[in-house]
Amino acid sequence: MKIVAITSCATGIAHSYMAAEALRKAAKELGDEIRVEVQGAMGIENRLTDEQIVEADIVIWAVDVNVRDKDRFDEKNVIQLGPNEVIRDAKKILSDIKANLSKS
Amino acid sequence: MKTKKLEISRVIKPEMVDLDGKGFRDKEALLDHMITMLFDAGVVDSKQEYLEAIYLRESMGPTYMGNFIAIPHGKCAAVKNPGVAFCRCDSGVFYHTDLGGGDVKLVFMLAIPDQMSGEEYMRVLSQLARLLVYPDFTDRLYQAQNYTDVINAIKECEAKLD
Repeated sequence: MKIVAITSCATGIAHSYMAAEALRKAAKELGDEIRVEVQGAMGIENRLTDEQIVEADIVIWAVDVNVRDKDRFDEKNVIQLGPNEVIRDAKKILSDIKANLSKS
Repeated sequence: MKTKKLEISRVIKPEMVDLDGKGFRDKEALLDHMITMLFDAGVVDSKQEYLEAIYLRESMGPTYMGNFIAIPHGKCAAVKNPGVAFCRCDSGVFYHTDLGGGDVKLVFMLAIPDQMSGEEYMRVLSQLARLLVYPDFTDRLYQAQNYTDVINAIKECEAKLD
């Protein structure tokens, strides 16, 4: 599956990067393709392109602050959760999302 | 302009690493100890101001990450240079949060200056956060005998990040 994600957190240093890495690691283990945009203290890193967003099967926001430029996602179903949840068990979260998708 | 790669050892100094953290009554005592390490190393110039920044961040959401890891962090003007203190508590310290919390054994405390200068420093802090997701890295932190082992673990695991 193609997944795009945005991570951000209160100070934009620790959790946003840990959550991004946890998602990348989980996607790799599950054989999915993922692009993660980090909205952190250094600005927006690895900004998602419109094409990547359009093509994505799954959109995840692992954020506890506002997402910047959220209108890019107007046409998409967005799954929103906290960065901490992702850090704790990204693999289970991704598996569950995929299982739900295949049911619908 | 080409910038020279920042050495992790400039962000984590020997006096900011304690591999034998014990006897902490609670989370507050552990945080106090780590704040003192950063103060003594000259990373922060006001314990009180930095402590308030740490607790302000704690109030926004848990810095306990599960898996015996916590990353408390404070951003304020009292931070002179970005720095990281590391304390390993083999017997665990209960780290309470609004969501319950849990025992921690590996604690990294990040000190972030108010003014966002020095991108390279910020990159180092964020790389460290990324590494904590990997059991290969945390295993090496548990096995580390001294400061050099910690620095080598960071350097070698960092090289494997994409």
